[in-house]
Amino acid sequence: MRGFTPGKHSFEDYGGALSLEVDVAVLGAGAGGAAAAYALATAGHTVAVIEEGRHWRPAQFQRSNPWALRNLYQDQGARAAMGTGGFLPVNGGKGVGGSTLINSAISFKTPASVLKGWREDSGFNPKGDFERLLDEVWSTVGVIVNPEPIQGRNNTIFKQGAEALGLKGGWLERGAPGCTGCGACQIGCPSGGKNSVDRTFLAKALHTGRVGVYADCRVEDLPHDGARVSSATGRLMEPNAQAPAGGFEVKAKRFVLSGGPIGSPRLLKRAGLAPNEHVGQHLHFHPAAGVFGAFDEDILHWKGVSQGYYVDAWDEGYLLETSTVTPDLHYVGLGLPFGPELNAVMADLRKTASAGAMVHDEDTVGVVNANSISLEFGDGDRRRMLAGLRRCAEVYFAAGARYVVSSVAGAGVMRDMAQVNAQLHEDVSFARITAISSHPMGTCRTGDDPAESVVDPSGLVWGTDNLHVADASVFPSSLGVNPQITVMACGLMIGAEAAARV
Amino acid sequence: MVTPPRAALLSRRRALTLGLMAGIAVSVYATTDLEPPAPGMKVLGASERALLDAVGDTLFPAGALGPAWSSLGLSEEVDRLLSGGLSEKMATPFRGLLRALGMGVALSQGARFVNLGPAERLELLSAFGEVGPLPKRLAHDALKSVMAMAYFGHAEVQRALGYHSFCHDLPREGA
Repeated sequence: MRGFTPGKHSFEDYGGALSLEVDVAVLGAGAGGAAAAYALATAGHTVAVIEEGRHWRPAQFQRSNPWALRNLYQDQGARAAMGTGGFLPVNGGKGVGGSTLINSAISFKTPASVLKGWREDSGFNPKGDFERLLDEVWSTVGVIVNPEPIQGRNNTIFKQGAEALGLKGGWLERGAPGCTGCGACQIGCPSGGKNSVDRTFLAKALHTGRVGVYADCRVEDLPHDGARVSSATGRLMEPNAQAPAGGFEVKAKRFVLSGGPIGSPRLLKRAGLAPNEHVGQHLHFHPAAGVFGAFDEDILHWKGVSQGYYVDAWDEGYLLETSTVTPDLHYVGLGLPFGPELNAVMADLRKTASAGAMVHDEDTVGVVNANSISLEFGDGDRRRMLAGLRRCAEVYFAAGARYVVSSVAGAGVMRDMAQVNAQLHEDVSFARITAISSHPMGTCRTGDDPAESVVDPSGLVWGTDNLHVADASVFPSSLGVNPQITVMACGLMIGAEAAARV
Repeated sequence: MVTPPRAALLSRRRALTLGLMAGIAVSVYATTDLEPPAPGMKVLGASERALLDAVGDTLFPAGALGPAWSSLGLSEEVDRLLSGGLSEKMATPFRGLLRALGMGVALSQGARFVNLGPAERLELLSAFGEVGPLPKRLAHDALKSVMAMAYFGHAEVQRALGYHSFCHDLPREGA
């Protein structure tokens, strides 16, 4: 296939080769890339959005965790940060829509204190319009609180416990205005009720008639003359085998890299475009771990909004959020040894509620290397996580739980807070905690000092003339709340900056 | 005073950990002579399938969770996951893991896992999950994840657990 054509394109259209020339190439069709493409297209430029994964329709999602891992997750769900003290799976989405295909659409605006710090310390958003961009994203994504009848007992029982304890919190606002409450967000929304960016920003961008979205293309290099990138090159991916089958080249005047906080720094390094040693450094995670409460009544946590209620413990460094996962992941998350007790707890699945603590990480050190992610889990973050797990257990007991189980190995079945405090004490090692990260960020951090940051406040990679980054890697620090709204606002901001320089 | 033999100083669980670590170390460097696929399988060999059946029936006997692992033919499902249902890239590491488990048990117990009684099997698998060196924990979590995907992905098990969301009833296309 030769020449740019607006619209959606897939492997079957390419005939084994693809060659394009456009004003701007956006590399990655996730939250940042989609919003950047929309900003560029509305400024009048032709845009090719290049994505490794596929285009999806809701009816194609198979409601199966292995299927989702294979088709919708980076590295087929096997990506993890490793350290001497333990490991942390690091989720990321793949496909047109990126991580918004597999998130719960939880929506928070950038906390004011965080944005203030970014502006003061890193020169972030010099135009001062980020609040307006957040409002634009909010409206485009259609953020609402889903009505209580579809929230499901998993969320209402957590609310009941939190209110009994007088904890600050509320319904989670979500970009899922058509949610039917089927609890399947993380394996692909089968109803189309979630507004992943393929249904919002990319749909609007396509509507301009100036955007082509090219799926099944994995970017592998950015040929350049030192400062100016001339093209993006890579392999076409046969979608069933997920194996390379042909090549492509996209020439453009400007490039917006939106490969995510793991992929973007890797590509910068591979292409020889890393301006300094900060590329891939400063990886933040929002590490999270789970608590499960068993009740006398049916909870059926898969019926209802997948993540609908939260407790705001921002000042203590964490949020508690309800969660729903498939039975296999529920089993994996239970920190009990193989045997009858684990199976008995699992047999209580229908009466079990599920939630977790997500930490606003401060002292964990992560680094993205060429073929690995290194991790040194911080003591402060470990203590905050354990405090969050204890509070989560307290919420469940306040709501009448018979027992709780956590994702801390060896903590066992806990029947009251005395047992919780004894088992989930602050000296528990990270090696015992089955945690997960779904919000990597910060590996191409923004700053106004070229020696201390990777991109300037317009998202331009230091030392280059025409390469921007627009994804969560440009965050100057850990965000502390679910990031999709902030990522999209960064996409709009950096897309507009790039558009002004075409 | 008679010094007891070193082996006697080691608990069975400590011995299993050491055996597993040795098995993992060997498996990392010796994944080239893996056995050919058993009849009807795309990836797993006959002895790997036998070990997986034994592990599966130990973790998931017939009971409150649903039918027993082997009665559902779930080692075939693991074979399907490793041959493209989940990830072909996982096939060799997972087979290395099975080899490490088999070698670890043989080195520490002097017997093959499949020849042990149910209680001994369960004790060993339970010890496998105890906190230990990172490679052991990774191996444990990988085994737990793949076994869980196969078992809890089966319709009969989901029925027994009462797991049915109305998203399961929405129209779906082949993909």
